[in-house]
Amino acid sequence: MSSSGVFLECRMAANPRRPPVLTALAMMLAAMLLHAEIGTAQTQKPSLVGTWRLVSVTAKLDRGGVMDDAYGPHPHGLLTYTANGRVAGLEAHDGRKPLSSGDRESAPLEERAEAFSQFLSYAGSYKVAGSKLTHHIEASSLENDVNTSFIHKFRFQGPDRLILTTPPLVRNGVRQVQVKTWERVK
Amino acid sequence: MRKKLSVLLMLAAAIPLLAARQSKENFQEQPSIVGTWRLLAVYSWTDKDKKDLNQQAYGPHPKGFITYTADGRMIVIETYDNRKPLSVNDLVKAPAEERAAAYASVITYAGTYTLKGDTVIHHQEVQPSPGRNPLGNDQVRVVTFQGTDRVSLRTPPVSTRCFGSV
Repeated sequence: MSSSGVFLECRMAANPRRPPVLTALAMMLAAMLLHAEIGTAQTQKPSLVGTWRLVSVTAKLDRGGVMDDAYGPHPHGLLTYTANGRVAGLEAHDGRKPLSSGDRESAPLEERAEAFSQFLSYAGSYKVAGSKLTHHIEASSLENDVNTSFIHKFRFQGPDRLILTTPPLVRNGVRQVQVKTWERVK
Repeated sequence: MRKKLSVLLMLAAAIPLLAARQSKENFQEQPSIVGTWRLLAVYSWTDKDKKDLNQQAYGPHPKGFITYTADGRMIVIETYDNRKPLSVNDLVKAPAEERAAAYASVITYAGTYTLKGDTVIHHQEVQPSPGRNPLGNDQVRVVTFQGTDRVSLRTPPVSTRCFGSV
């Protein structure tokens, strides 16, 4: 039998030191920008900031044709945008099976492989420019996406519905864009 | 004999903002968990004296972020160091061995959270596999702040062998 305790010691990974003058200038600039933003467009446009629940995913195939319910009829997903420019999302297909035994490391290989194919998780920063929404991925279940920027198109349907169109991607060998509808979590 | 494993995640605030900084000055004694935190290190141990402490449980440079929003939502992703990109950039068509390995090296879920004393409880709503976590949908973490921009989250001891057939 055993128990646990806390062990605390780690190195700082972020925040390289900057000269104080530069920091002060940066802060003034940031304050001015924040001010300008609050003063103008913010009121008439709905905000991305908040948490969104995935409603549907439609795939538009390069070879022509549309696949409704690309993640199944009741996809699962949550997507969060913060006011300071961070994004994190987790999307998963409907109808996934639980692992028959073991955990993420010890379950049968085929089951882990199948489970991996049916979700996508990512985190990073985001930027908006007009109708373009860029996700810069810093961590992802799909390692290929790390340190890559993805330019989505986005629009709102009312204040609480968000429609995102992905850049082209390949799923199951089929080149497509995915149109994802999200509903604001209240 | 059951070995128990504790995992400690060290997280640092990612990109502190001017606004966050200013508001924090007023509440320096009560650091807030709200915001986005970058994973710095993962420690694990099974021995009560931590003789077997592993300071690189996910490898030397794990990646990860956890976000807590002011309105009670949370989302987390953690990946091991040295994960390889899939040889075929396709979630479905990549070789099964590569997909299985990728699956084994990511921890992620999203949902809501509640604070209770020095603990935070994560209520999972979306996970990679339904029923993947044998401890259920609630995850309890002991929260320890080091200043306002660093926090550790300690899992309860979990048995490495408590996974039964479903």
